Amino acid sequence: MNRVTAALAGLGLVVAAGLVAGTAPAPSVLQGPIPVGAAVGQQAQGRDIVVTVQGVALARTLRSDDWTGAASGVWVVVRLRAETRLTSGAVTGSLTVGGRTWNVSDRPPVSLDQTSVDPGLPVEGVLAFEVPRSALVDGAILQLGRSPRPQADSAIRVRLDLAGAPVRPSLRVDAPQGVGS
Amino acid sequence: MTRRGWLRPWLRRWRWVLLALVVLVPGAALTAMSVGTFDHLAGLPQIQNVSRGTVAHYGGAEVRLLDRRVVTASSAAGRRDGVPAGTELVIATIRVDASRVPAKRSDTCDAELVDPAPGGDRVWRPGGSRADYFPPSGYSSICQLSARPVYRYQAVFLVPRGVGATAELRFSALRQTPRELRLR
Repeated sequence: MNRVTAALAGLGLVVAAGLVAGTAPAPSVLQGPIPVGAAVGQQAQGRDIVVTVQGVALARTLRSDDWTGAASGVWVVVRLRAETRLTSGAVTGSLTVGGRTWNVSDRPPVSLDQTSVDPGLPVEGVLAFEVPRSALVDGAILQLGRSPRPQADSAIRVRLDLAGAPVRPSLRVDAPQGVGS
Repeated sequence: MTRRGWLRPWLRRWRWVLLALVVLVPGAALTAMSVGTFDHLAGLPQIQNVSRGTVAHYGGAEVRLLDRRVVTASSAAGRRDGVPAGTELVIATIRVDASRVPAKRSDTCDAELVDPAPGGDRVWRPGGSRADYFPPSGYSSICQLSARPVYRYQAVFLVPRGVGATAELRFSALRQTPRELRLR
């Protein structure tokens, strides 16, 4: 092997190593959520979650049997049907608008994320987010999963258009109910 | 120089380096993998199958499955206990004698119902809050391996119809992991 061949081979190896390093996924991608897109009314299925967002409503005050809660801004109430596929546990989510993210509020005692959801046993319930009025824009991203920020796990993402949606003075929310599997 | 003409002298010249690579590269790979392999093997479940009525020694306690029954939604008991349609209740009663477990080795134990499936095991934790069944008095719904009188732990699972008869009942405690009992 002459020197020119050796130099070319060495250069080729350096370029190949650069390509490998340059195209390797970042740790945040490897450890981050695995997005599954869906629309309102459409069933989405992840690794350990099956969920359908049935509707979204806005309200200034939420009430259940023995609780009433006024929002400092607005309640975004997501009604959904959810079941897990593998393990019992919580189904929860977050709402992202323009780079700001809100977790599910722990104020409503009937929130779905306070109930254990079991494999093969779907339930219907609500998740509520308390957001400022400035967050009521189109293109809000609702993310649903087994934790607020899933890592290396499925995250169901649903686009919500909140601009112009009517804000009710009061909205009744009920505890999660099992539905036929 | 032909292709063969330069290859032989090159191989002869670098033979010791190539020989060292042949030994060192697989050796390094095996060494790197062995670290994870030992951890992996140490973390594999150590399963002890225990048939109904047989005493298992676990974490210093004696554990025995007394009873396991399935209550279907359509049965009289299912209607009485409000078992939802399409589901069934699995009620497992386990006798736990942890009276000789030292206080400093107290542990929380847990039961799970597992349906092995090709796509991944489906695991139910005790709950069954969607039915109206509650353990009768004299039964505990909390499992602990701690110094207390002998008690009967009742684990209640709500599962889809058809799962209750075949799913495995697993019993474990945090400090005993990865050792677990399969109560049959």
